[in-house]
Amino acid sequence: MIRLFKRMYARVDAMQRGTMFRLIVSGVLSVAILVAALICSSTATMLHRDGELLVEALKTANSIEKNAVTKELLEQGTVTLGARVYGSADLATQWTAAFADSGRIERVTEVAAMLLTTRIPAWMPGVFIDDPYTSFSTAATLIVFFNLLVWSGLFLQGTLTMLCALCAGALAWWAGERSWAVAALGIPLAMLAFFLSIRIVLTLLDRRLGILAVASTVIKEAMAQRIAVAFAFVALGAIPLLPMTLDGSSPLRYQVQTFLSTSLGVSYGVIAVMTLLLGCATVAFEIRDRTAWMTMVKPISRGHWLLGKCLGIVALSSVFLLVATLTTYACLLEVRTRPAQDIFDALAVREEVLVARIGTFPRYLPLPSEQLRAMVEKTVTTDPAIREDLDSGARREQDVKRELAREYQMNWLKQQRSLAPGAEQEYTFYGLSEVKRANTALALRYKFFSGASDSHDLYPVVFIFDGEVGWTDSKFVAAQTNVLPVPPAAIAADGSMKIRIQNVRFDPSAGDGGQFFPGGATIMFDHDGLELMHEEGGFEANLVRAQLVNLCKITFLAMLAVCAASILSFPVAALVCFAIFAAGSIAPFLALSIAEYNIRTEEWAPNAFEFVIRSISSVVEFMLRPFGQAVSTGSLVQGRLVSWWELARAFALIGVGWSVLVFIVGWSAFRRKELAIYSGQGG
Amino acid sequence: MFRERLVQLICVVLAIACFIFSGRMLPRMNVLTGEQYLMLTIEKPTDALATNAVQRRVPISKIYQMETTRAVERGEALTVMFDGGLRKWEGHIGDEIALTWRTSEGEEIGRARIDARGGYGLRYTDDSVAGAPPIVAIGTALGALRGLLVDYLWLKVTWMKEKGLFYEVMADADLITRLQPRFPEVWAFHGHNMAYNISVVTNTPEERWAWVNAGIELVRNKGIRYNPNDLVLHKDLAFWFAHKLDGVADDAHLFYKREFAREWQFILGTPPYDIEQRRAWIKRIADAPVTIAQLEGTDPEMRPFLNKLEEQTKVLATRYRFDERGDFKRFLMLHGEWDARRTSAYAKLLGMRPSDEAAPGIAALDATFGDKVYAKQAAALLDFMRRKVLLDDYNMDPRLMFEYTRDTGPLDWRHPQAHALYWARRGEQFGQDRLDKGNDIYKAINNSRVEIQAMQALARSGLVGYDPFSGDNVTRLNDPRWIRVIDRKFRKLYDQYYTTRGSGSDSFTDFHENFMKGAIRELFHSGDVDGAKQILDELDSLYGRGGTVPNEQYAIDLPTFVRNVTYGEYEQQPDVARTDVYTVLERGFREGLLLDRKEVLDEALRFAAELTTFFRGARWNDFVNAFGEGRMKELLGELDDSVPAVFAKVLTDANTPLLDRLVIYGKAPEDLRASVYDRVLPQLEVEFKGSRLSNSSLTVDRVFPEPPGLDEYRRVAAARAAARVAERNDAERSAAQRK
Repeated sequence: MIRLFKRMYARVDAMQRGTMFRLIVSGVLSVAILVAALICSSTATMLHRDGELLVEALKTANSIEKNAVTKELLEQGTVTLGARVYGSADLATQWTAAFADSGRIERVTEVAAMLLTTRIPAWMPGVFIDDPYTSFSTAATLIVFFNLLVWSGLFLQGTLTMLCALCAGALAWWAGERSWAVAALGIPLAMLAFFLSIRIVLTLLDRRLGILAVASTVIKEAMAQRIAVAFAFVALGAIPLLPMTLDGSSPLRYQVQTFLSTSLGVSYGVIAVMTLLLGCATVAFEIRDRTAWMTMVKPISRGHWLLGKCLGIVALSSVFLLVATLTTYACLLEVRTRPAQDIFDALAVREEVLVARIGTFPRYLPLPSEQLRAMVEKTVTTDPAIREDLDSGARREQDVKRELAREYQMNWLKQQRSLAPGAEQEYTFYGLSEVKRANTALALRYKFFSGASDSHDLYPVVFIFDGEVGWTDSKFVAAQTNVLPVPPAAIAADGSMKIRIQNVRFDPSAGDGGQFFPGGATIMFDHDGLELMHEEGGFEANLVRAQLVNLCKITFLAMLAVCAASILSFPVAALVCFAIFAAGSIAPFLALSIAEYNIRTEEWAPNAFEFVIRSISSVVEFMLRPFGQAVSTGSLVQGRLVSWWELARAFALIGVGWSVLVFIVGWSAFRRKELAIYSGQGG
Repeated sequence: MFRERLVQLICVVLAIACFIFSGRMLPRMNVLTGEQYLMLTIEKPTDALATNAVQRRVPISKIYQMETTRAVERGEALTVMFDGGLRKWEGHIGDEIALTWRTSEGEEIGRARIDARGGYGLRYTDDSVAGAPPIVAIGTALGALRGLLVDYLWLKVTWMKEKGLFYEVMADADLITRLQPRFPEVWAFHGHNMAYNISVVTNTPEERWAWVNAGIELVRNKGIRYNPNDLVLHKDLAFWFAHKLDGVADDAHLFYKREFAREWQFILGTPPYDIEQRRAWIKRIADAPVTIAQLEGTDPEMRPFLNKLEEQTKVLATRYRFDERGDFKRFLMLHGEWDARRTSAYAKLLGMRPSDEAAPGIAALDATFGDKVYAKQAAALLDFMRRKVLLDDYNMDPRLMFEYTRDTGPLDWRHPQAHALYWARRGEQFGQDRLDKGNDIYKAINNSRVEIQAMQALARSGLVGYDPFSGDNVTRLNDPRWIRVIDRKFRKLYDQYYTTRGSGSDSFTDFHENFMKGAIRELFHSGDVDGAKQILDELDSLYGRGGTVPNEQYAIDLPTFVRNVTYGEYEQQPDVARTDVYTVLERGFREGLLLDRKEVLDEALRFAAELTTFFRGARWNDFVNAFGEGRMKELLGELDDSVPAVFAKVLTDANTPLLDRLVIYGKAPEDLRASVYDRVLPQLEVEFKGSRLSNSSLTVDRVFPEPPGLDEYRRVAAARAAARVAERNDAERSAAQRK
């Protein structure tokens, strides 16, 4: 039986190498995918159109007037458009929260999107509804994928893999284990994509150029020795399994964030480890076994050889990163369809997580220079201690004035970030014209301190916005970041937004219709304690940029490993590289630790020890700070924009600058190294 | 090649299987390698309270005399080789025995019931049968790396929490608790995060309650199981009950109180009011059998009852069926709902019928628990289930619950402060010995504060009334039975912390003195003159003539003291008078009318009248300030109107259940009703329409009828108002003329 299977396999494998076979198969697949895309697109277009009609219908809803649309929405949880009904009875209880005090629905787009989800066919990914043309771009990707599969000679293997994956996934789905179905489908497909990508990269590197030949050899060796396969299995296999570890009872936004953070973190970590190990191994073992010496006699310089090694590892890591990103994104599509706790949880996923936002800080007005000068002059002339110092020559007048000016300016700014009980302050955010035009939601993130900042207590505060938005009273947890959604209607026509913050408590049961009372203690916040977040871009582009930043870091690690191994033996090189990698990764935490590091004693020995430790740590932290600060994954998970500037900076500084520096050091030492001396064991 | 791969795969699978198997065998291995012992409930014969039983762990090697006095019919079989392995005893878990065993002080003889058998070994908790969970085995296998990993995760969660990035805080904190469960701070962190941080970002009271409850359950059911001797963890848990559930800072606090009362009413039922009956009630639960076999052994009719119960509940959904090996909590909740339906005033008033979904369950329970033939068996089964649920689902020991009820006051477990008291007290009992008495004594003092403050809160609101079918808030009234308890507790704390550096014991004296002064007034106004006098004498001995600096402040007769304390304060802060009048009148209306305690209402009305007279005759009555305002005159005017104003406030206070308020209105005198009718009707009408009462045949006019003589009252009130306006106009005209 096995022999028969082997014979059939060999026959089909031989067949798939034929041009005619490839033409027929790729043609049939392409047509099938196009047809599917057309069906998807037409369904998506219809739903998209209905979505727009839903938005229009929801704009007329009013909970005070209780019109027909509102009644149906609140009582049955549905909206009827012609013959089609959107929504379901399960959602009925949630819609009450969607109505503002004015009686209208503020987030009509998001509510319409939630109603629409009940009509989306189970087979259609939700992302196609947002933009019907996505189905065509997906179709294009699939066509490219399958054509590459066919023309690279992996069609049979790919088909068998997909068949097995589909069977396993179908079994799991039938058993009701959705997460297992995703894993059963995801892992084989991810591995298939990995092998296909490797095949493509090898094809691209197959050129008559020394560097490319070395790079190609690195990849082939890594695949032959199964190093890359093992790491691929760990990294790519873990990602589809991660959704199973998520706590289904926690808010959906936390599940999505946890998944993103863990999957991107795991894949980056595994790729980094593989890069360092492979980089050290491929160079150190070749030097030890004199394989490098055999290569150097060919017309390739040592520098090119090192560059080729680095290129091979970077190419392999890029493949990993690409496949890991695609796998993460595919699994994310499944995770985001899980049930949210309520409408606000679902909205948070769309508006706060799967989005790229930037934060704007209010403009704090400095002390006017005339007033500052007058205050400084007055202090200098009237303060007896200062007068004494100046008269005696202990201090210079300009130094004193400079210190005073800085102090007064700081206090002035601090006062603007401080509200006494019952007091009010106004803060203005600028540059929001685009946000107003796009009509996207905003979020005010604030971190206030009040009184003892007891984490058990809730402190009152009132926010007042201009225009129709009015005021809202909140209770915040002190010394922690709190978030308040802000409607775009609060932005003025000139693109600015004024927010008045009052340190008061609203008691609705007091007086006639409620009364305000002063808050219990002064509210204070840091210069970055008040931030207005708004959408600047999409999640997908942000994900790509974040991963490119990671790729820049991996490029540096590859160069570091290759150059370290060219000078040192494998164990030592690996140790050095991992130490630098670890130090670079924890650089931000190291900076915090150094700031807090203090041996409180009068004895000289511990103080000397502290000095030495602090010096070494500070130097290491300073040198590796950019590496640690280039943490794009964190921003991505928080829904913050990873800007092109950050990417460019990471590319220039880490990807190119540091890599070149390390290369120069490594090449300088390597070009003098005697490769012919045997340094291994045995004969 | 293929063969090699296959061998490798098989080896990997075998290794994983061995790992899992050894992890699961770990507890058993600990038992087998350890010293064997018996867990016995030993009866102490010398106590006045005859059933003051204690649970003890007695090593089998120390037993040299063992005889069965009463055997259970069914139970887990047990064979014990005692007396150095020379003699053999055979019986069952649950048997009662007479035994003699050696101790370090000689020998002990006693009668006991065998609860369990176990082995000494390195245990993960105090519980003899609990072993380390598998994940801990994994953590141990990590060796030194576990510490590093936990350090990293701990730093990460604290950093992320500060940044408000909660998404991974939960997962990481959960991982830390699994890797290193004996790290109490992480349980407190994790629970606090859920109860305080995550809950406030939710949008509905239900969600908020789910998170608060989850945080509490985490520490109660897991954190404390792994750290049963950590005082600070107990104190934190107690504080959450006191602050989060019983406090008023959270917008959803009323929802929490309702849900909490509902849950505990369904689990334990309504407790008796009388203190002795309440002790007996909780004691029955504490003394309930440990296993089904023991339960059957107590009554030959128990098995037929259990069979009938299983039969009757077969028609229900799986999760609600009675199953001897199943989840008793769900069944207890079902029973609680059934029982509440029978006794609910709302259910009767509204003629509430069970829904189609609930009807089969109600019928099943009617046929079993409702059958008078099995009343005794039903009660015994309830006690058994309650005991088991308290231990398994809430990690609360009914014996301790009984001891604390016996030693303190009438604990009503529907009140969050009862739980605060329980956990604080348990922490003191099991955790205080482990503290460093020098540096950590403040932790013990803080814990004691939580406990005594729980008692104070119970004094203020410990009388709980709740109807789960009303959809309304919980009734919470004063319970003066706690006054004496607080006094005793203070004395104990004072002695306990007398030698503590700093102001250890003195930090409680202000609390005690102020509380007792208030208690004197309260008891006096409620008619308990003897009780008030006794406390006054005690205050005199502690803080008056017997105090550190002797003084005469308490050396006066009781009425004068009450008057001085009351009015003396008013000289300094007249506005306090209004607050006090309002407070006393509120209580008078609530307790006087709702609980038919006429003396409370009469005293409150008398107090209000006296105070008004006092201010009317005061020397500063005519004072007019620079703005022409007669502050005292205004205050007097408010006091004149205080009775109807407070009555209106009581009737419109949504914190009190609507039915209670309608009862209060119905029992009030006619003139009082007339004085508030127009004022409160609009709000009560709205509330009534929004409540379940409106679903019945009741109407607003029936539940809130117009009092007789209302028209006459309206005429008089209008005339009085007109007179007041004229008086004010005259005053302003006079001022203008003066100018």
